[in-house]
Amino acid sequence: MALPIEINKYVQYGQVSSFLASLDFRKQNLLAGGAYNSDLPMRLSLVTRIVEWKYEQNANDDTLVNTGNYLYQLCGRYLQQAKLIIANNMPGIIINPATGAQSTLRPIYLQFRIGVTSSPVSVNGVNVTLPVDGENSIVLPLTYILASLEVTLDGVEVPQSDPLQTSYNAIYTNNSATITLANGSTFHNNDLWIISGYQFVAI
Amino acid sequence: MAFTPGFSVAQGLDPTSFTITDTSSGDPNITGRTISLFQSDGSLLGGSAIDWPLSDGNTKTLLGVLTPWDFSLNIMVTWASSSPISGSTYTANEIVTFDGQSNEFAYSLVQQISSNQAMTSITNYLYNLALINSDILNAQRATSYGDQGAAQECLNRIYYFYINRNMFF
Repeated sequence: MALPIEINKYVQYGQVSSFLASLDFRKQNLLAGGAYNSDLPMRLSLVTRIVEWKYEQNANDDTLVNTGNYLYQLCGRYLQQAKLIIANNMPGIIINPATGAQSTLRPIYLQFRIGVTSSPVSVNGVNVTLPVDGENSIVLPLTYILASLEVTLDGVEVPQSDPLQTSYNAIYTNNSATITLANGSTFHNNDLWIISGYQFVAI
Repeated sequence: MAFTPGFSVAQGLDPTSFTITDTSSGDPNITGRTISLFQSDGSLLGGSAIDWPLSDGNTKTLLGVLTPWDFSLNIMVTWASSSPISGSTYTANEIVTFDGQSNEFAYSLVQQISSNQAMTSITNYLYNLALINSDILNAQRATSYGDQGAAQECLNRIYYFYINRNMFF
């Protein structure tokens, strides 16, 4: 039986995130005078290879759901960039379709725990008010958000508009994106949410 | 037509077993075949060559031979022919490194982490997993350069981690 997640895609994300993390951590280490240390690039690299091995050995192995979700979680902040790299295979000229202006894509990354993380949180210089326990929506008041926000709950990807589980709907405007939980779901204390994506920024 | 000896090796879900496929062609006078599994020290795995009668067809699955752990094997297939004289033989060989059990072990460790991420706070857990991962890759690299001994050493190191896993993980 097919698995509920696409392991082959997760493996691709892991492969790209491995070198993105490696580059990123090297830069941060340089800035910290060699004092910055993390095993994330190594962890990404080896988990990606081992999960890929199991996928090639048996693509329907049930245990891949857990290990695949772990790999996805490890990709974290590199996920959006990895998806763009995989989709485009190379950087190119980016035009904001709303303005026609040549732009660059700036990462959006918001991580918070309901009832724990102090509100508001600054994202790319803009304050985002966090939802409280029982609310069902959050507004990102950022301009020209690329309509491809990714949402995870406790490390697991949350689907859009799925009637059978916690899911969300996103409404994008030129000045904001509103994420509303579907199916009567609400935010709960201690839930760890990560919202990531990109916004167009004119250059 | 000249005889062209050849075979291929594949492993399925069972990491202790593998299948050999006879891809040879060209001689209608073949009378029999044997498979020899040479370990890195030159000895035969199982103690003797394995008979592979023509009546078995072109594939033969060797069940449960890779115990207790993975092996790097120099696999030699010998074909006996009645031409040009009775008792003539042809041979083909290939070094094949089986890493299924090593990968299963590494995967089981990743499963443990994915179920309980605090596992990696155990001293050197991640470092030791990285060593295992490195040795799996190095075993295949050694194989591609024909160094069966180095490949087997890599597998032996992983086996050491496996039998002492309570100490390392």
